[in-house]
Amino acid sequence: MPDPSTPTTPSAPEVSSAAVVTPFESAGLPNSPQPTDPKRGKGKFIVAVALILVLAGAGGAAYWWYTQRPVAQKTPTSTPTPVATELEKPLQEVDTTMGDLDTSLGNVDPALGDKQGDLSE
Amino acid sequence: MNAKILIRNATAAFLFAAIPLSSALSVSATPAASVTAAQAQKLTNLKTKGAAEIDRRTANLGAALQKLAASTKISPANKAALTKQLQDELAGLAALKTKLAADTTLTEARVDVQSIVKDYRVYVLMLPKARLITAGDRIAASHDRLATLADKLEEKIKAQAAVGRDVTAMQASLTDLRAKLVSATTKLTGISDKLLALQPTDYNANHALLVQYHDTLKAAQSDLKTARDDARSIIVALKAAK
Repeated sequence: MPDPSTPTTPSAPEVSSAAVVTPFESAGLPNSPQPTDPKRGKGKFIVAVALILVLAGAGGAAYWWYTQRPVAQKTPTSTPTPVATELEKPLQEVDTTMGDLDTSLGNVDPALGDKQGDLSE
Repeated sequence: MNAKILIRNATAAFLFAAIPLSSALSVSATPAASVTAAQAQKLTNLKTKGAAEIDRRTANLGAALQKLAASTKISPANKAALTKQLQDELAGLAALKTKLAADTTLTEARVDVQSIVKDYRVYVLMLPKARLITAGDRIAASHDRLATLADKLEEKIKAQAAVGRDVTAMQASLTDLRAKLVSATTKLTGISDKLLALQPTDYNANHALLVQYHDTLKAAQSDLKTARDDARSIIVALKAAK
């Protein structure tokens, strides 16, 4: 008989292991990871590495092509000016000056002043 | 009775005589006031017109200075001298504008407004002078260009003569070309300095002042046109000879 003065620790209620349902099980999944085939994972890894290497190589090749490509020559937008001969060029310059002087001296009427301004003086 | 009539008539006569006098006296105060008001209005008008004339000249001188600064056709010495003269005109006109605005009498304002024209001569002397000096420098530059061309043409003519070609016509053109260059040089010598020296007082003394310089420059230009035509005929002949 147990001593009634001695407090007794209530024992934990026994639970039947068969009655415990884990969340995995409730979801229809196994409780522990299933063993996998090691050969199958290794193959995927090799494929991924190979793919990365191929992409990196393609990128490098494209960059190399970009830096090494020949620069396109600019198409001239206007036809080149015909080069005046050493004799004709100074003559053309004199022609231009004479034309300008016709205008410039024509704008001065020495009896009246500058035609560009007001002649009210 | 007669005495009363006489007195009444005399009084009436006095009063009638007094009416025109009084009216005349009362009117005499109004013209004095109106004359003062009219003079004040005249002064205001004169100041307004004078300020507008100064502004117009200032704008034209400023534009001329800008053209001068940008010009590569004028010699540096002439450019500097002309620039100073035009700047002096601008400064003088600015001071005159201030003085005119402060004038209190018609007499003062009239003197200042006349000064805008007579002391500055912007349109009839200073601006045409700047144009003529620039033209002179451009003619001189063309002269130098043609002189260099003449030397090259002479070499070509000699080369043609050396191979037995008839260069008589080319040589004649070259001789005329050189003669025209000498003629132009004679006309151009010293003309810029003479033009630079002209002042408004010179214009006031002689309004036909610029005629001789204008004619001289036109004649020098004509010389160069002939020289240019000579050069062209030689070039055509040289091309035909090849």
